[in-house]
Amino acid sequence: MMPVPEAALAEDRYAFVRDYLARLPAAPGESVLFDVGAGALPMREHVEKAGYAWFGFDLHPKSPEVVEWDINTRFEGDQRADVVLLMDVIEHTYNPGLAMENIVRVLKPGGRIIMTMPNPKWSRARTMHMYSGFLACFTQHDLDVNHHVFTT
Amino acid sequence: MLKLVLDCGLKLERYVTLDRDEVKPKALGLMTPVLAVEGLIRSAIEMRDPTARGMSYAFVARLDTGEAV
Repeated sequence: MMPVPEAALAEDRYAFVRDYLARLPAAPGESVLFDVGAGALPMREHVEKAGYAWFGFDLHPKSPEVVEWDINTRFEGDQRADVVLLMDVIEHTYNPGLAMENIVRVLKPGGRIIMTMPNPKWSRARTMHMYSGFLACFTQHDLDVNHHVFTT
Repeated sequence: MLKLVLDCGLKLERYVTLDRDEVKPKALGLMTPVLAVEGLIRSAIEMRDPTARGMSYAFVARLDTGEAV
């Protein structure tokens, strides 16, 4: 049974992750965070400010500091993470179950994942579905251009 | 998605919805009646289902066992 959300926040995913990391104890020089889907590195500064060593990954890296990794394949490095950050990433994967297994493999014991995703149960998505036949964030445009292929 | 997370041996620590928006029309215009009706429907949905309150959602989950999948 799906649990009830503990809160309905007005803040966006960046603010949520920034605030969460600021309260999560890190051991400077030891704690490692994998930023999967690092994109234009919007979280790097916040991650490092929270005391984590930042490692960025993306399917299509746009920065030399980001390493290419398709999370539908196993991670080839030896490094392991205290925290893996997946901000609006999993809905782009063709096989989210496999992607999750590969993500969990890179976690240290006791490690955490922080995931954000579009909410198909959003009330606006439901009213949109009534007249358009599509859920918000999962339209044909989102499939063709944004490559949103999965959610639940 | 939660099932995938739990099946991987992770324990859910936090679950919140994000980007909660205002369901009432922001300004008066030709579409105001339509938006007002939509707002009422959305309010009813959100009252009945807390998971509907926000454009996005977030999980924080922790690997308890120390063993990867």
